Amino acid sequence: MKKRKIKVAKPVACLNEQGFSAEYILCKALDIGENLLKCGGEPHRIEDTVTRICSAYGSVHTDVFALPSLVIAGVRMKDGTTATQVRRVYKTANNMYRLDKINNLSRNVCCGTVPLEDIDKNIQDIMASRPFNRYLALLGGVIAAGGFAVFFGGTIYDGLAAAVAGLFVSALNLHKIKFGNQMLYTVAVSFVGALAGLVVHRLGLGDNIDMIMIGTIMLVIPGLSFGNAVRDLLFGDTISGLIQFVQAIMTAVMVAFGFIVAIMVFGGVAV
Amino acid sequence: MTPVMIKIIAGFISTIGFAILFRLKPTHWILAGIDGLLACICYVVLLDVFDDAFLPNLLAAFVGALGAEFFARIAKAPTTVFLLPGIIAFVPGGSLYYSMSNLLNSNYIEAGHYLLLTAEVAIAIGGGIIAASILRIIIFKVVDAIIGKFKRKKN
Repeated sequence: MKKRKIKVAKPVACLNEQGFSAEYILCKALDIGENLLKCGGEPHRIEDTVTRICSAYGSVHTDVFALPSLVIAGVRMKDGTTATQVRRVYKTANNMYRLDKINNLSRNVCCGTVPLEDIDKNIQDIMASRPFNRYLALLGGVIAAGGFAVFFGGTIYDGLAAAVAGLFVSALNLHKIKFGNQMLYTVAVSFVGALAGLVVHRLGLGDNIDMIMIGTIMLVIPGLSFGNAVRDLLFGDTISGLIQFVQAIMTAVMVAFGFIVAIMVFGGVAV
Repeated sequence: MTPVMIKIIAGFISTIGFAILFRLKPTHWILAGIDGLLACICYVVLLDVFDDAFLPNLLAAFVGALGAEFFARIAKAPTTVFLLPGIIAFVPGGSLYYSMSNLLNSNYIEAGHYLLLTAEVAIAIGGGIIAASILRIIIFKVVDAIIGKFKRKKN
C-alpha cells in the first residue's frame, strides 16, 4: 500500500530555486491545465492540477477557475508579485491515453523530477503520441454499436447490422471533415449513421430497425456528457455543469434532427 | 444462454468498444471491460428485480464508479480513464434521443416523459458517482490512519 501511494508535492517545499517569475510559472502550469482540458479532463481536475503546480513553485495564493471552454488563473508569489492569465479552449475530445500521460507529467512536475523548462517539449511529445494505430478506432466503433444493439434487446443479427452502421460513423469520426461548426458536423454524422442503418436493414440484415438505430445512436448521442453534467451540478461546479447540460441537450437535438432527416429521405420508417 | 447473460456479455463488449473509442491504453482495455461488466451485471439484475429506473441506475453507477476508483489505483491512472467506459452502458442516451426525436415530431407528451426519464437516470448516475468518490475518500482516510498507527507502534 505504501509503495503505491501517489506523491503529492507539499506547498512548504518550494521548488523555485532558479527564481522563475510568476508569469512564467503560471504560463507553464496553464499549459498543462489547458492540455488536460483538451483531452477531456474534468474542470475540477484542472483546478486541482494548476493549483498544485503553482504552489509547488512557491505561490502563496492561487485562484483557478475552469470551465469546459475556459481556464482563468491568478497567482500571488511570496515576494508579492502577481500574475493573471486566461486560456480559451475551443475543442475538446476524450483521449484518455493523453489525459493519463499529462496527469503523470503534472505529478512529476510537482515532485520536481521534470523541470519547468522541459514542460513544453513533454507536452508536444504527448499530444503527438497515439496509444495504437488510429484505424483500430474503427474496430471500437464497430463493436460498441453492435454490443449496444444487443444490449438494448436486439438479436445477434441486429448487432451485426448496427456494427456496419457503426463502421460508417466511426470512419466519419476518424477523418474529421472541416465543417467549421460542431452542430452541423453532428447532424452530418448522425445522418450518415441513420442512413447506413436503414440501408443495411433494407438489404436484409437485422430484424428490428429500432434496435439497429439505437445501437448506432449511442455512438453519437451525448448521454455520457449528460451524466457528467449532472455529476458536476451535484458536485458544486454549477456553471460548468450547466454548460455541459445545455451542450448535451443541443447535441441531442441535432442528432435527432439528423436521424429524422435520414428517415424522411428513406421514406418514413417509424423509429 | 439466457437473455440476461446475453445482455451482460453485450454490455461487456460495448464497454471495450468504448474503451477503444476513448483511446485507452491497450493494457487498460480489459480492466475497463471488467469494470463495465460489474456495472452491467448490477444494472441488468437490479432492473429485473425493481420496476423503476432510479435505483438500478444509482447502484450500477455506484458499483461502476467504485470499480473505476479501484482499478485506477491498480493501474496508477486517473479515475476518469475507467469511469467513462465503465458507466457508458447505461447512460441515458436512448431516452435522450427519444425525447428529442419526439419533440421534433411534435409528440409533446412523449417528449416530456422521455426527458423526465433522462433527467431521472442522469441524477441517479451522478449521485452514484458522487457516492463512490465520497466513499473512496473515507476509505483512504481510514486506511491512512491505520497505517499511521502501525508505523507509530513500530517506532
